[in-house]
Amino acid sequence: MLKPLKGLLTHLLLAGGAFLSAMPFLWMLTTALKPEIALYQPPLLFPVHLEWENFVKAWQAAPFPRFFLNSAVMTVGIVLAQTLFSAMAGYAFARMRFAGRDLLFFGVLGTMMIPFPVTLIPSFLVVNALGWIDTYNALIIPRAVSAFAIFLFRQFFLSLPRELEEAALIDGAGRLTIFFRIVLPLSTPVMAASAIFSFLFAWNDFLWPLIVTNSTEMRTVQVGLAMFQGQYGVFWTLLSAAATIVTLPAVLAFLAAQRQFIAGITSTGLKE
Amino acid sequence: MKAHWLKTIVTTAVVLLGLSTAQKLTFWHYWDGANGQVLQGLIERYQKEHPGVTIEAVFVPGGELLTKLQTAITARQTPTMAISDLVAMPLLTRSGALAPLDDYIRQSNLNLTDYFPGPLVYGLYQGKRYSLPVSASNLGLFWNKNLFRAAGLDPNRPPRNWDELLRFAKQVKEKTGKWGLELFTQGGEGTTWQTQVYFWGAGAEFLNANNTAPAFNSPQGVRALQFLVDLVQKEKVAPVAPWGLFGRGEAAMVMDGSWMTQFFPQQVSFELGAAPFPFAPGGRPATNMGGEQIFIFQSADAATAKAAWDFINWFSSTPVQVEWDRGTGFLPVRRSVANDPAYRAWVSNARPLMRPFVDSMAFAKPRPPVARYPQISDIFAKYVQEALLGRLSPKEALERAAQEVAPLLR
Repeated sequence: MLKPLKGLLTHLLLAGGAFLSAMPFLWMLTTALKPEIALYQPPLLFPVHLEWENFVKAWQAAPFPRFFLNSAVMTVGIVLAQTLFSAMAGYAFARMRFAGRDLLFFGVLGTMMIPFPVTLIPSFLVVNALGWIDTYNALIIPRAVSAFAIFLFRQFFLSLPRELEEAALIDGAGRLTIFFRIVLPLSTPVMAASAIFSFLFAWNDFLWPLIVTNSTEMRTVQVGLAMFQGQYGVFWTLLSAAATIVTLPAVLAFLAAQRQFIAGITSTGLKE
Repeated sequence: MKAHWLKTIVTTAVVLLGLSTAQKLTFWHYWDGANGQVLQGLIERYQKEHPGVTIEAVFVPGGELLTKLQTAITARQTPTMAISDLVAMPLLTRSGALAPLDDYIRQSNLNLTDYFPGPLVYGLYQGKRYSLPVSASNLGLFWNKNLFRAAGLDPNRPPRNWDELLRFAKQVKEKTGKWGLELFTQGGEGTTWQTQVYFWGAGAEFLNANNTAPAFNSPQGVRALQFLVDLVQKEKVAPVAPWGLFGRGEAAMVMDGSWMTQFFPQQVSFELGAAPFPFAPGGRPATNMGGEQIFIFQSADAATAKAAWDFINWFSSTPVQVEWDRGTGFLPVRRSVANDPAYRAWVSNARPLMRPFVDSMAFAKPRPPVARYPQISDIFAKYVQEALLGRLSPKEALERAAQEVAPLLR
């Protein structure tokens, strides 16, 4: 008698939480489906209007196919580079002994405290000197490594049993073999977590891509979204329609990697 | 045979000449959507009429154009020319990256007295002119005719001064239970630039004549803020609430921008009226003003800069500005545009709500062109909020604001 009641309460609570998380998305979707005349009506959670036209208008308002391609190239590049390089750096900080290792690690952590606008102009000067303005290089290479991901990987590697690596070492494996054949295959949860963080970062990034690109051919989806936030008022219905389209890949990526993501965050899985 | 050779030589010479005078100009702007398309159309026509000149217009979303310009200035990677929101002009003129336009203006006989005085204030720095206004917007009164009717007011008669504004607002509140007037109370520049209209309308100034000290704490300023505080605290005809009441039909009157003559009719379900904003009895008509300025960067070589000026001169000419303002709904920056018969006919037929805004350009005042205006605006808005919430008396709020603003102007 008590047990089903408890289960019901738990599920009610969970449903409430799920509803709160889903609400912004519902709001976006209902706004996207509103005719402009209904803009001032109170927000609804379920679409009563079905103004699909908004999606067509939003899609045609800017060269979105090209923006999607650019965002995809940039995001894949950043995710691959950040995962690989941050894993390697994290491994070095966790397992290798060298002078000044901890100092260097704290230095890496310290960079997370420098706000982006401070490094914006110096970074731009470097990219400009390299002649990378308006290229994928400028969009990917300056963000090929992430202090946060290094931290994530280091903490995870510290929790891996050392014995596995020692066994491989005895069998004659070198550092790189150990890293690629033993450590990385055991690190899928943290790789997924790091990848989803860098995916969201790259996909949602706005200012840097805008600063280092000039031509429409090199712009990304977020810059496309900004086009609906005009100097003289925001086109909420079109913005919501475009935002729905642009958010879709991020939502799909999250759903696909959800299990690993949660495992990576809690870092359960393998413990000494 | 000979003629054939001659023809070849002449053709080659013409082609070479054409190549040597070919100019590529880059132009950064934030005009989005339909406005961007009007600009692109004008540029294409200019290019057709001026072979050898190519203008590459680069769109940068409005909020980030200044950041991008500042980065470009630091890296010495500036475009040939650009526009900016007039509020950012003091920062840009002080950067030293803009080219003075005075010689060009003189050589082209561009008549600056034809411009409305407000927008011309920007772009002047240490006696030199670095930018020209190319578009404007300003603030006025919108009212809900349905609510006026329901309150027993003449739906076609807007308030002309503060006494009427208050009387109409009270009548709406009593008869319909809706708010009489909506104020922008969320702080920041939104609050400041609306409040300035009341201040100027009461005869107060925001800063002193040479922009070296605050002047809003004058008796006229206190009177203006007292009027606003009374609307909220004493008469209770205006709430401190999130923006948007007027659009939902919850408030009968609002101060909003000329651009809303384009958006409101598609967004609201009631009959709209528009008028110049009422001013204090014994005061003067006044409104606030926004818009864009165009400028050339110093990095351009002489020939490129001249080509950029030729485009600006063409873009600023009355016929092109008439076309530009009709296409975009921006307000004229030149009297000859505001008085142009074709333009006036377009306003009357296509955008009758815009008429009072066009008329208000004559007394639209510029916000002080000082580099630290954004900080000053935030401080001012913060104390206006304190007064509206009844936490400080208007006099005390303005005195405190003046104390905080003064060091920023030194």
